[in-house]
Amino acid sequence: MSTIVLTVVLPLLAAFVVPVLCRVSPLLGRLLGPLTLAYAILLTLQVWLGMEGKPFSIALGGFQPPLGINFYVDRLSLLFTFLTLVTSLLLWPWRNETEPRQYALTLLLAASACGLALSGDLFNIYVFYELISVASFGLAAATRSGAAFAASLRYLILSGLGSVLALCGIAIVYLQTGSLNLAQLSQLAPEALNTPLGMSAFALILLGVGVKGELFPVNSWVPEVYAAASSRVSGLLAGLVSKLAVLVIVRLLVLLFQQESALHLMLILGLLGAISGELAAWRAKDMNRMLAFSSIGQLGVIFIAFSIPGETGLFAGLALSLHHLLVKPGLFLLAERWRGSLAGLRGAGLASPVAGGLFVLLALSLVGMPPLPGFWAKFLLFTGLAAQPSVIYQVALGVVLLSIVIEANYLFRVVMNLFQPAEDNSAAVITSSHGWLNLGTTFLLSVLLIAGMLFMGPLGTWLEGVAMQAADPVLYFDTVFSVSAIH
Amino acid sequence: MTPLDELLLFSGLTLVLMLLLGRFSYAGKVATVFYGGQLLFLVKMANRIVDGATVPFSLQVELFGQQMGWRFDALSWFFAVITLGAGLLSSWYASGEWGERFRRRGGNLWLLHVALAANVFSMLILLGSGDLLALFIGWELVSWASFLLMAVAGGRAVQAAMRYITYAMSGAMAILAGIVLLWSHAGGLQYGQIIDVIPQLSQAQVWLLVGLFGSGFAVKMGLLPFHLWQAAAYAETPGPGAAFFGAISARMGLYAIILVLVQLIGLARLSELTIPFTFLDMRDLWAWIAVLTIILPTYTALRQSDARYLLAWHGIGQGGYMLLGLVMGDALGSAGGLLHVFNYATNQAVLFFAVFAVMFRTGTADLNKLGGLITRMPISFFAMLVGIIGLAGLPPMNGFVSKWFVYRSLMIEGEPLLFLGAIIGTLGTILSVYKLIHNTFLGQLRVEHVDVREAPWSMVAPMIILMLLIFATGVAPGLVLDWVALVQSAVGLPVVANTLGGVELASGSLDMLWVVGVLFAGFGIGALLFYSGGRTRQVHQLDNYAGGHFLTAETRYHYSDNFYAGLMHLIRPWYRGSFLWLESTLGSLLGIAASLMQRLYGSLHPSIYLLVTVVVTLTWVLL
Amino acid sequence: MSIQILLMELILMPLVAFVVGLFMVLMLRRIGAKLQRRVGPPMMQPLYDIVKLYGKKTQISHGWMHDIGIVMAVGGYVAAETLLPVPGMDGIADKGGLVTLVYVMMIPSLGLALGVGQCANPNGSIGIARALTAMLAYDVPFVIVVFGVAWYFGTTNLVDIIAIQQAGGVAGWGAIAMPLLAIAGLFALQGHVRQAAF
Repeated sequence: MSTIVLTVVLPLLAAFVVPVLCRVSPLLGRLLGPLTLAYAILLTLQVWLGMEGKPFSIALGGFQPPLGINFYVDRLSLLFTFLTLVTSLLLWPWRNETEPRQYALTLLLAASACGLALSGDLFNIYVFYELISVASFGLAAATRSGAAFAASLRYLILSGLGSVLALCGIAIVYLQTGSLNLAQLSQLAPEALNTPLGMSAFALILLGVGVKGELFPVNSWVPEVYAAASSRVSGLLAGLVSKLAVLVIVRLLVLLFQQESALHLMLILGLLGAISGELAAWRAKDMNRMLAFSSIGQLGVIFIAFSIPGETGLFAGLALSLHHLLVKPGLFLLAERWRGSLAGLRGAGLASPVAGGLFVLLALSLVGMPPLPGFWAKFLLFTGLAAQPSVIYQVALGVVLLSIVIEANYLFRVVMNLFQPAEDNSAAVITSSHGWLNLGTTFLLSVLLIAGMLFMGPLGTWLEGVAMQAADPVLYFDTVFSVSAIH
Repeated sequence: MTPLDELLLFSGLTLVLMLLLGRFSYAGKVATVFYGGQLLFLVKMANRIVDGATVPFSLQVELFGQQMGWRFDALSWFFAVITLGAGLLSSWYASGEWGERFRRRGGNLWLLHVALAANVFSMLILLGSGDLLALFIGWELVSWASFLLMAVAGGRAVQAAMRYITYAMSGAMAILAGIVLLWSHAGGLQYGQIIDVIPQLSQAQVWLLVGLFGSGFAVKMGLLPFHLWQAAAYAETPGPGAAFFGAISARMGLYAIILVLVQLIGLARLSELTIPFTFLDMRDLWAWIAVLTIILPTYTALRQSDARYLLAWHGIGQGGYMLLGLVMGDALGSAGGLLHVFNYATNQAVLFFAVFAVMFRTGTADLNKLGGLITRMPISFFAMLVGIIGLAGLPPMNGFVSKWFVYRSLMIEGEPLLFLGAIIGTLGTILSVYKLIHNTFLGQLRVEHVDVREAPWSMVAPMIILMLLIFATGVAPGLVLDWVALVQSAVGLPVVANTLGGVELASGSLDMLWVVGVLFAGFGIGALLFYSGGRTRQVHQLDNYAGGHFLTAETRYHYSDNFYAGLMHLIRPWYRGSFLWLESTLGSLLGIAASLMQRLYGSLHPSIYLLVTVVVTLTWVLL
Repeated sequence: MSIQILLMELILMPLVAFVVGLFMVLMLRRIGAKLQRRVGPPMMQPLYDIVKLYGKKTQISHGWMHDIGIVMAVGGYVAAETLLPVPGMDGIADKGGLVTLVYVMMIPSLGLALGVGQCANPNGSIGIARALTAMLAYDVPFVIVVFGVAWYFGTTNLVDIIAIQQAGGVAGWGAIAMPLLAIAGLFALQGHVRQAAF
């Protein structure tokens, strides 16, 4: 059971070994990262099978919680650990000029993301979150173009401010309760944090962590970075890192901030993000920016989903997150071959019909065409929103529906452009050197998508179980403290 | 295996076959045979439908606590017959020379066949939906399948398809909103649950529901004010596709309207929903939308100079008659509306076939570049003649019967203004279809068309079948009215007491057998009188003079441009383009909002301002 | 009603209409002549005209639609007549009714329009365009009248409409009960027969 710690430790270790190893043996250096990740995936699966659906907690360093630090392993955190590792492996920077550094940064990202998913206290969450930031700065700047550096700087500034805010929020929580252990906090929170001060702590953490989660006012780094960074990095940031930030916020909402105003705050920010992102994407002139803005929109929708109280919200949010995690990296990988202005893409889909077809499939799922998985995720969201008595949720329903219309419009404008014969017969050529690799990865993601559609029933039941477990603060508390008692 | 299982499996098989074989030259023939096979399966389930039973689909899906099922009742069956008939004849039309030419000219025949099969398949799924979730899924499938077929031609068709999909997505989202609202009240989406919960809802809630569902369905039906996409989208689709679309596609909206507004919510409930500050209720509103949908698009059609656009605009207008009859809600009106679905489908299909036959031979559908083709393409001319008589609603074709039902219903219900609107639409249709046939087939033959021949048999045969159908169901409308009566009883509307020749009513019956009989007897007398006058001498079209001048080969003249100049002079100021203005205004507003958002993301400052605000607020809270 | 009587009515009704029609044409011309202080044609002039038409040696045709158009025009009116009761004979008036009659009466117009269209004469086409525009003008008031009649008598069956009027005596006549509608109908029908001012 405690082998789950290795999913954090091994990639972290590998991250430091890789640069050295690459000098000794380039081949080994190349293989080390993927092998480590693959092994970590195996470990995760083992733990998954071993836990039989029951959450458990691991006390690290011999100190018992609430004094020591602990990893909380339930189906949700394990799911995200697994997704982190798999996504990092899928989006591994196989061929790049600055290989060792990229390898190390990706491994660092994977390690810290796993840590973030598993951590059971606020302090560790903050530490891992900072580690993710460091790794993603490096990755974002890795293409070494001027635009990439400028974008990374922008990202850096916003991230730094975000960290400060989050730290302030955590400080307030500590001031009010005297603890940073989530399990203990879940006991103290209903009294200590159900105040305006507690609310402001949540707001600060939300905005701070929201920087990575592409939350509305603190996301202006997104279009620049995704436009400049490589597709794999964009996919990693949009698909994975944003979801981890959301995960942190969701944990806090479930355990610490159960007041309605917290949910409403997140709902409103999510709404603004959804509508502003989709609108901006509607006007975007190049592929990567369009996908970046649309990613902002989708994350907005995910925030909206998680702001529905109870496990309905968790269920819908998880479904949307998983779907987005599957689709967005795929679209970014396809975009690699179609960089540049959207108008210049005429005929590109005819030149490479497989890529064009995959783009259509992913776009359809993103828009939510039944019976593709995207529809079911959105259906969960809509039914969840409609069931809420408060008017603001109904408004959110309307706004999300509107955003889908806008989304369908711009995505299919692109699709139509892709399949129009080019005027001068010079169909867009594949510009990227790893066209086949990207295509293969996207194909794999699409196969997963189709599989998800075919096994929607069992998948839904299982995901609902995950959500039920995660939505139970009492279970969290009991698990952490009963296990520590046994130790 | 129930018959519905067989039908849907077979339809899916057709789609798969087209995916695999669509690129071969015999694909059209295979498709035609397979549509015929589907039609046979439909016939096979007819006896159950006649008994008033529903035919279930064996597969039931349960997802996220929602039961999803499919079944065919009389309503689905009726629409499915038209769908498959349209599919069969369209693919027949495409199976021979037309398809060959299309491919040689660089068209993607594979995509056309696939898209057509996908349309038919998805429509059958939609028609079979047994609950609202299945309905929505079918609805979306149909939308995207239509989009595919519309985009086949490329170029302007793609523009039209994009416009369509934007409208369709907006409509679909409105429907989805309605569905989740119903779900939140009923806790499920089975029709039974919905029917149970509707009486408990407040007027405002039903208002909202009718608005959401109605506008969503109205988009596909092309009802005002959501009609702008339809004409171009249908007209720019290649021949068989346009005929298929014209015949049935938009009627999926009517199917859904019948299902949700008539069957689930009920017309009686609509009458209870009054519109504030007016003396109208919701049902009147629908009737007026229907009448406006008749009048405005019909007179827009009158101005078209492209035969395909003219027909497509009429298609929008004719939808209004169906809706008008339906919302009257009595036996006569709803029978007329439903009957018109069938009749109109046959008329529109044959008209599109004829227009595309002309296009096949002459390369144009521009009404100012044709003329005199009657001597070269007599069968196509006759097909168009039958079609326009039907479309205009004159005896002895079937279009007259359905319109008669609607008129009579309006008379009985005492709706003079609606009646007048419907008649104005019919008169506009007569004007417009005469222009169509005159500019295409009558008048002087152009020099470049002297060598034109009749369209090949693969294209003529479907037209002949449709002509026979139009005439037969005009003489004996009871054949179709029997089905309509089944539909009415399945939906819960009053059932029409029809006879083979029409309907028996205390306040004035209709018996088309007699009417057509005396009409043809009259024609016989006319022929007797005319041909007893002695032999006539056939003269050349240029053996003619106008305004004191002989028309020579050099000065060929065919009066086609601005055909109703006098009328247009009077009514031109009424063409305001208000809907276009509305559409472009919405587009501009969206554009402005979008560029504002881009500017927002383009600058870093707002986030910093926000962070400063947060810090200040925080300090304030802390102190 | 036995089938023989019905068949006889169906033959007789157009003949009655033919005679009445000829008489009306004659009256039209004679009254017109009187207004212009002319003598006007003799009683048998309409018949002479027909005989003259049949006696013509140069009958030309512009094609089969041209011929069929004329046949449709005659046939449409013959059929319309059997739907319109004449005194003592109802024909098949109860099978069609008012609305059907209105629409059957449009068939001759359509036939003429098609026939003229095939003449390939631009002036003919212009004429048809104008005639159809005029039809739009006179048919709209005409159907309002039709609606009013049907609504007032509660039926579109012409036999019943006649019976109701006869039962009510002079006061029950439609023209007495609804004078404005009657005048409107008269005007519209004036347009229908394409006489002066239309």
